[in-house]
Formats: sequence, structure tokens, C-alpha cells
Amino acid sequence: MKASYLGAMGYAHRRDFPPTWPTPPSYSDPETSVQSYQDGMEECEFAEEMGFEWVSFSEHHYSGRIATGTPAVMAAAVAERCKTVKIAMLGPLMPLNNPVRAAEELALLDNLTNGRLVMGFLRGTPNEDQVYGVNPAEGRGRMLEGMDLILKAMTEPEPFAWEGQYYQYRTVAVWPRPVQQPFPAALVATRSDDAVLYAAEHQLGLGVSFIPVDATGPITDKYVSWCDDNGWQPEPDQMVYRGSIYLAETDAQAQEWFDRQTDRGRAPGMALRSSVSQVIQATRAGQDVDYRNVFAGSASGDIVGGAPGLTFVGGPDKVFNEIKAFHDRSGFGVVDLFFQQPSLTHADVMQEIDLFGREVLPRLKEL
Amino acid sequence: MTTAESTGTVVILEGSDGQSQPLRDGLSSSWRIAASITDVASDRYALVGLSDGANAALQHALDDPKSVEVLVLVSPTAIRPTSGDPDGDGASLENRLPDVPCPTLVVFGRDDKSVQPDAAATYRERIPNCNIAFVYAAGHNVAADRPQALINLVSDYLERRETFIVQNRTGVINP
Repeated sequence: MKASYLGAMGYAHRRDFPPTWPTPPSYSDPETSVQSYQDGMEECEFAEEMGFEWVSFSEHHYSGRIATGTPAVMAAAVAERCKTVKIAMLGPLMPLNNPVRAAEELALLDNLTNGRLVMGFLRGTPNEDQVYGVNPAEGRGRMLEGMDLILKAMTEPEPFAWEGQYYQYRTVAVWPRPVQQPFPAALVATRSDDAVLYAAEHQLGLGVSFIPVDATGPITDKYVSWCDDNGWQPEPDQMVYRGSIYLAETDAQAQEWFDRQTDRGRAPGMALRSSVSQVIQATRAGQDVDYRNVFAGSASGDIVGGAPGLTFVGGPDKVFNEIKAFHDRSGFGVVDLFFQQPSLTHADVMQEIDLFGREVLPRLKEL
Repeated sequence: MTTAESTGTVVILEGSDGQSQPLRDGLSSSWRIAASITDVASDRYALVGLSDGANAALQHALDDPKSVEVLVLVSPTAIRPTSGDPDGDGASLENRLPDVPCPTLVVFGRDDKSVQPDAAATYRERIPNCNIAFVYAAGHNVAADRPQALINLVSDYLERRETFIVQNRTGVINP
């Protein structure tokens, strides 16, 4: 099993953010921000040194908690520092992005890294729908079509027009061609049947994020079964689980830290007004929204998309066994780990990477 | 949409699956739809073929180059896998693609499993003035799967030929 370090590039003072999303830009001090990115890149380099085989990037907007709204820019910078790890774009948010632009960025990254790119396609958390004005009801359709267009753009050798449901282009001719042929290693990060089926039908990998191990099983079982129906079986690297982690020397130390976080309440910068959250979720589900009734209690915030919480908390043995459970139950071959919890400093995270690399990662690699 | 006088008539050659009606209905508001090639009153016309009707349209454009002003091939199957019949009609048509005399649009359903993966590129490379288009969420029978998308695409191409790649819809939201 391989480990991936999520390059969140969190703003150093993210613990001071208000609870609501988006985080006002006034919280961003340029000097602190510049240093935060330098720290984040140092963490990526150190993760590579300690044996992580992937570094991943994720598109999140309007907050310094995961401060990579344009992950391709971040990935390009880190790829120049980290010379051996896979650069995993997990990923561009498909409903938000022009798929042709995304294909161009991904193909260029595959060239810059000489074929080290992994591309993941995601729909995004509910708050992301607000960033570029996408109707939440159209997110699923835009994701499916966007993925299809990216793959076509990377594989079609001649210029072509695309007559889609959400996208229409009369000239598509992505340059450069990817180094990996016919297209870079790719996965779909999803729990939804239609996207899982798309992955199985197109021999793409599967990514699942933040849910408990028992909840991953039915999804991965379906995926593996549908892959079988399509005449192939995924390789271990094609099944990726993303989780949050807090690793300490002992279980007791980790639990003590975790209890302190629980006392502090929700993660800063993650909450939407409950009215907004209700409307997004209902719209995503295709339900009619009665706007007269959603405003009660709207001053309070909800956790965006449900609380991701922390997936792995403990000392090395406990964390190893928790990750192993995902491998054993669902066959995940890569675990993508979010270390930058809001209350942690850069020094804290570096210590965790060191401990993980010494005490957990060698055992994971034997799985 | 305005109709150019020289391309006022469209002939649609239906495939054996007989699914051209949505396209026929969609184009009829702006174009004169001739029942067949022999019914065309004007000297030159636009020729649209679907599936094996596209093969017939391609053959006709090659055989009677002065009559066809613009050609649209929807899901053509003229190019077959080379393991099939390299000397058959398909191979013959493929070899004659450089002689297609008029602007040509070749349309495929994105999910059409009945055509070779490189067929689109072959048309584009060999026909001198050729655009290719993929219709998302459509199989071989594009007219049935995405009728309005096909109507919009074909009518735009018939009107503007290769300049259909230039966006002409306004992006203004609040004028």
C-alpha cells in the first residue's frame, strides 16, 4: 500500500478563521501567506523524503484552510521540488471547470512531470457550487460530461467539435499530448452510482473520501463488480482512499489532542448558513425548494457537506491498523492523507510526517 | 437563421434504421427538403446522409461533384476495420476521400461502438475541407439519441460551412 501526502497549503493562522465559509480575504496577510506556501512545499518535499509515493492537490476555494483554488499552479510548483513522487491532481472540480482548459492543464502537468501525473475527477463539496455560479442541480451532469470531454480531448488526434449537453466547442485540439498514453492515470472520486459506473466502464480508478470503512465497502464492491462486468480488474494504485489524520507518539497523546479539538467545535472556515446549505442539498438532490420555509434559523452555520471529522487518530500502531482496515475491506492501494489540521503548526505537521514515515509507512508498504 | 440561396435545398439520405425524421423536421423550417436527389430542382444542393445513408451520400458526392455544395455525414460506416474487407466498397471510398470536392462535416455519436476509434481522424486528415464533431451522450443513431443537438449542429454547418467554428452567439447577460 502507498501513502499520498495531501498538499493542502493551509494558511498558517487558519485556526483564527471565523467558522463560516467563505473566509473573507481580509484574513489573508501577504507575508504570512507567502510563508505558508513555502512551508507547505517543504512538507511535500519532506513527505517524499520519508517515503510517500504520491503528493496530491485538491481544488478548494475561498478559504485558507486548503488554499489551492488553482491546484494546477500549485502542482507545477511542487513538481519542480519533488522529483520522484506521483503528482496527483485530486483534482479539478468538474462542474466548475472548463473541461478543455482542465485537459490542457493536466496534459501540460503530465509533460512537466514526464509522466508522473495522476488525475482525479471530482464534483466538489456543496459550497464549491457557489464559486463560479454553477446550478447545483447540474453538477452531476457537468461532471459526467466534463470527464468524457477531457478523455476525448486527450485521445483524439485531430481537431474536433463537441456538441454536449452542457458544453459546446467547435474546435478542440489539446496541446501538448500527455506523456502517458492514451491518457494519464485517472480516477473518479465519487460515491454515486453513475460516476462509479463511468469509472468501471472506462477503466478508470476510484477515489473515496472521508467516510468510515464500513461505508466504503458497498461502494468498492459495486465498483469491482462493474469492472468485472466490463472485463477488467483495477490495479491497487487505482483505488484511493482520502482521510484526515492526526498521528502522535501514543494513542493517549493523540486522544488528548483530539478531545481539545472537539471542545473547540467545528473546523474553522467550513460552515455555511443553514438556509444556504439546505437549498444546495435540496437542489443537488433534484428536490423543489420552498424558499419561504428555509430561512428559519438561518443565522447558524452548518458543516459543509457533513462533518468530515478525523479518520485516523492515534499512535502509530492504531493508525496503521485503521488504514489497513480500508485496505483489507475494500482493496484500497493508496491512502491520501490530510495532515494539516487547523490547530497545527508547520512544525507539528513536519513532526507528524517524520513519525508517519518512520513508524507507519514501512508497514503499509508491506501490505 | 437565414437561408443562403445557393444552399436552399437539402437532400437527406436516410440510413436503414430510418431515424432521419427528427433531422428532417428540424431543418424544414429553414430549408427546402427534397424527397430525393432526383426531385431537386436546383443545380446544387446540400447533401446529408445518416449511417449507411452517409456512405451513399459520400459516394454520390464523389460521383457527381458538381451537384453537391456541402456534405454532412452522420455516423458514416464507410471506413471499416482493415481486418474486414480491404478491397471492398469501404476501402474504395476511403481511398477516394481526398477527392471529396465540397466542405464536409462528419458527425459521430460519442458512444458509437460501430465505428473504428480512428475513423474520425481519417476523415479529417483525408478530406480536404473537413470538420469532425462528436455528439455527447449519443450512440450510432445520433438523430434518435440527441435530436436537437444534431439539428443545431447540422443547421449551423449548412449555413456557415467551415466558419461555424466562429462563435456568433452573444455572451452579454445584462445589456
